[in-house]
Amino acid sequence: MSLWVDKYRPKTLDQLSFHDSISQNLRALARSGDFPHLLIYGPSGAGKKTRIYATLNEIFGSQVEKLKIDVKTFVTSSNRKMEFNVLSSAYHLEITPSDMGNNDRVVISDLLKDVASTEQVDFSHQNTSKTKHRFKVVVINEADSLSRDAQAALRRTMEKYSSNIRLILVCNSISNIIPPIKSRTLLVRIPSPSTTAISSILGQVAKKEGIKFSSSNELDIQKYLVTLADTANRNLRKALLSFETVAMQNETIQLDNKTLTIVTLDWEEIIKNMSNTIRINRNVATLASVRVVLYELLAHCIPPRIILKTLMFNLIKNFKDDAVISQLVDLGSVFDERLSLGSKSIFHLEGFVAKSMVVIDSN
Amino acid sequence: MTAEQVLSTIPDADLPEDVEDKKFNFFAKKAADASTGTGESVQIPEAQPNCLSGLTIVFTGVLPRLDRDTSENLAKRYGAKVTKSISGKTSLVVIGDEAGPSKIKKIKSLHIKAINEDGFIQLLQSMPMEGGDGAAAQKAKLKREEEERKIVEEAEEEERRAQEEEARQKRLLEARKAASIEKASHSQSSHREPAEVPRIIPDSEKLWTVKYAPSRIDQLCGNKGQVQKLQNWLSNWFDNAKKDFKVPGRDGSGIYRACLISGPPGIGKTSAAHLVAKSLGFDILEKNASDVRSKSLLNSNLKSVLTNTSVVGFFKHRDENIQHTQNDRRFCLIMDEVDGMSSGDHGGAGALSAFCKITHMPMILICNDKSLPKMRTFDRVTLDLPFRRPSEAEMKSRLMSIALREKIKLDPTVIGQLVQATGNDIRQIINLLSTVSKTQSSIGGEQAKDAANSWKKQTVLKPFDITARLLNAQIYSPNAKHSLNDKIDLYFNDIDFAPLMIQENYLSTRPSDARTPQDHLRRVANAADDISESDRINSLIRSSEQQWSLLPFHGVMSSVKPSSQVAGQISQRINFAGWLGQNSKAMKYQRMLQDLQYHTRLRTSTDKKELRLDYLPTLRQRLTEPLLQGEEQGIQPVIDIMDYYYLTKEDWDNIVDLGVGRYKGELVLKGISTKTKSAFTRSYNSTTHPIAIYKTGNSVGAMVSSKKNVDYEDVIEDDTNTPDKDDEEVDPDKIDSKKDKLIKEVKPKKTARKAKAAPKGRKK
Repeated sequence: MSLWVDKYRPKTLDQLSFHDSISQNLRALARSGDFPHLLIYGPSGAGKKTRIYATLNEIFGSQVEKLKIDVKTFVTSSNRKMEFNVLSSAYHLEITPSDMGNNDRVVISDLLKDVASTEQVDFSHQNTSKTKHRFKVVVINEADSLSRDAQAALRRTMEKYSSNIRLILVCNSISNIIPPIKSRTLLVRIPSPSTTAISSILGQVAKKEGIKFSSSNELDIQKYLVTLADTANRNLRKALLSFETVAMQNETIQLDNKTLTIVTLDWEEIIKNMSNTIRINRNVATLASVRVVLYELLAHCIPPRIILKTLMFNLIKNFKDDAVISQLVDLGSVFDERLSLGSKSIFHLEGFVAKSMVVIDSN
Repeated sequence: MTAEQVLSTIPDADLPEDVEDKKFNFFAKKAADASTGTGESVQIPEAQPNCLSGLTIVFTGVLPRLDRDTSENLAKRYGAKVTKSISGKTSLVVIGDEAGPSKIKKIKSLHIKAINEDGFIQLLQSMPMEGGDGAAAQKAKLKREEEERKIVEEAEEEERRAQEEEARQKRLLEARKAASIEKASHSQSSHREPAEVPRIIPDSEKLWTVKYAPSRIDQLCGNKGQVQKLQNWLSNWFDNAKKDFKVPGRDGSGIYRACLISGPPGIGKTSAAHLVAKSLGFDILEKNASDVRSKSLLNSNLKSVLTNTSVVGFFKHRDENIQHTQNDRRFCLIMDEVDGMSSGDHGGAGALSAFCKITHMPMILICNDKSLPKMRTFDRVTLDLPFRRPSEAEMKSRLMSIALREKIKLDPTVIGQLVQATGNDIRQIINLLSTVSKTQSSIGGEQAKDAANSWKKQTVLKPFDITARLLNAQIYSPNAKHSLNDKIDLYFNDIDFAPLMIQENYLSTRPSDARTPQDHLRRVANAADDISESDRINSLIRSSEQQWSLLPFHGVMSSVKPSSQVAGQISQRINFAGWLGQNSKAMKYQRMLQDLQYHTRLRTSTDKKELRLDYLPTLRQRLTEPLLQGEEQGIQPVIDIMDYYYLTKEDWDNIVDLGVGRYKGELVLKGISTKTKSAFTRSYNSTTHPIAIYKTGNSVGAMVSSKKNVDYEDVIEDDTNTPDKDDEEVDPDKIDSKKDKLIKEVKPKKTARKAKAAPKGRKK
């Protein structure tokens, strides 16, 4: 039993259905038996991780799918013990240094050096062609949230131990990556799949799962799947997950009933309600009640920047006047900057709400 | 001209006719009491000295231009008595806006003259010196003169006594000198210098606080009742001892062998203890914070003393041929500054409280703050004597007589200000007077104000007080004389809490000059903007940049500027900063999410953020929907999913808990029947489940560190080397089950629990 996202995840490069040119390049790299450090970036739900594992599969064989998690302990400079989880197979490690917060440098310098300074010794598959690689692959997740220190530590490690390790950095945006690292890696951008690509995948899944639709007209189904892909913002993961939710809630999917078939996630719904309240009642009491909701969202791990973005887009949907929209977007970007520079996100979110109330009022 | 005549020329203030019985809002009232109306400045007239003498004035409501403090001080300065409630003795009421309905009723029923602010100013201008020649003014004058006469008499009396004492000392000294010279001449062969005669310090060289320290019990200011209690307890101590401290006696003090005096500094606790002990003829043994008072030292030094009797009496009266009495062999132990027992005095408090139960001499313990946790050990073993700060009235005569003896002209009305500025600390007032006397020979109204301001005790305000003051419109009005620096100082009282408290409470004010709700909202938005910007400054200060010089700027942006925007009446209770709780809640959920991500990572390919945003809603659906609909049939599918994703039961709870809005944890859980829930738990626990993470990294680590921390303090060194031999004989093949957390050891219960805790430990 698993969710469809995980059930129908492609395992090899051949199974990948979109971005064929990228897949071909990766295959060519993998065939050559060696590859440079990679920096893979793109929006979430575009298939970055899936592609990486497919490539690793191509190089090392299906052994890479046998994952296990180890807990390593580190002692930080302030003598505090930190625990850190490492996902690994025989051929690779996957780490998320940003789990350690400000101490991510320790992970980079200790763990990476540790791995890098030992050579890959594996005699079991000596004679097969695929184990000629004497290097280990380290996948670094959320590379864009690595601190400056950690990135600086990474720089030299990448060159010094290049005979033993290959790094694959994964991130959403490369704007936070320092140039020296960019220049040492091959940049691979994986864009969001097109809506048609998503809808065809959704269609395949629906067929395999035997999902019933209210109409058997292929075109209607196609249209519905496209809207699903659209509302998921071309995020394949999100599209699949919400499709599954819809399928779970309804025996047969009513194609003509939008309210039943389009899923709004719990947090999206709250933000939508919040924007409605702001639109209707603009006063200090509303601001106080908005604060409670914001705290609730923040506490339940909804990232503040996502809240800000969603709220702003929900707000501007209500206005036709370009002046208001541009002012709201302006405010949104100002507070987005403050969110990333500051530390107490509620201050900024509240500031945005208060300011946008005034903007709406004055127009 | 009498006060009545003057008053009759001043028009009555119009009392509001129908006073509706509004629901009383304490916080609004409190805020109103402290604030002023507008910022218009008012010219305060220079009136004749003591012109309000004999008048009893009540201020009520909000005066339009003068704030409450200023007006009350003004009245007091000119000799009026200011009270808070209206009674038959009240001579006039100065009434402002929003006066309380009950007060207005009283004014009407008692037919008391009520004037408004303008009337009050007019009164100041027109009243003659010394309150005119009305009966009340005359009476007040007489009373004042009587007081002054008393003070003069007392001062003269003391002066005389001090001179006598000095003369006596001098005589004594000469006698001794003569004796020693005589002695020296007798034993000339030894060529010994005459013994150093103790020098007597004349009063004029002593500190004022020593010079004017009370020498008789009746000179103590305030706390008469407690001093009396102390005296009773001490004088009955030996009688009680005979009864083995079993009979409580009339005031219940008979069962205590020790007493604990507590109170703020500078109110005469130590003086009282010494005076009482001395007056009852005890010899005093004093220990204070300068002595090390750890458990072992107390045991060795003090314990042996507790049963002793004094021998001072045998030597003391050699010069004056007085027969020593029984009393003279009595000891009294004064343990000063008990709450000053610091970390160096390890176990001191405990040992001391143990002594309190067994001591054979009276013990007087003195501390500042009895409420501290470390003072709790004295709770039941000592007689509790809380001392209060002496009031202005109680100190007045003492301070006046000191001033008289030092020939300083001290205005009696000034004392009130000094008392307020120092927080009723008589010691500090005396110090202050002695400093001022070096440069000035008279202290009057304005000078005292300056002196009091500069001597004002720097008390650190609590976050609630900071917030109340910052959000109060009063400090932003042009005639408030409250500079930007003063406001930043408020922030500096607590740089961590002030911004958080302002952020929490800035929405709950009613700005004084916001006319419309839109205006209010605009102000709030500006404040929110400032607060948001201040967070950037804060991260510059706290981050690796460490730019602490930005702190005043942060103070302005985070506290002063936002408050200035929204300052006004605080319409609600001041709340404690909610950010702290919310933040720790968020951290808790972050940890939960992190664990979920680790556990599911083997099956999913997503990071924490995406897991929460996209995965969890669907996953929750899959994990709860079968239970909601299929009840017990749904259990197996749910467990299948959990096993596929390596989720534990705890993770299931966490996933449900992470929902918001419609899918809030409690709401979802409410939908599942208790029966299903317990069946689910049962069937989950009855089977084994895959686990994603083993803690292999430090299975041995714990052992090493615990070995280091062995406490050798109480171990007696053994000369034989047998233990070493034992170590060698340990079977190397035997696996030490304690070293590996994955191996469960059955026998000792403690280890079993540890092994059980191990899988839990990874959730940290």
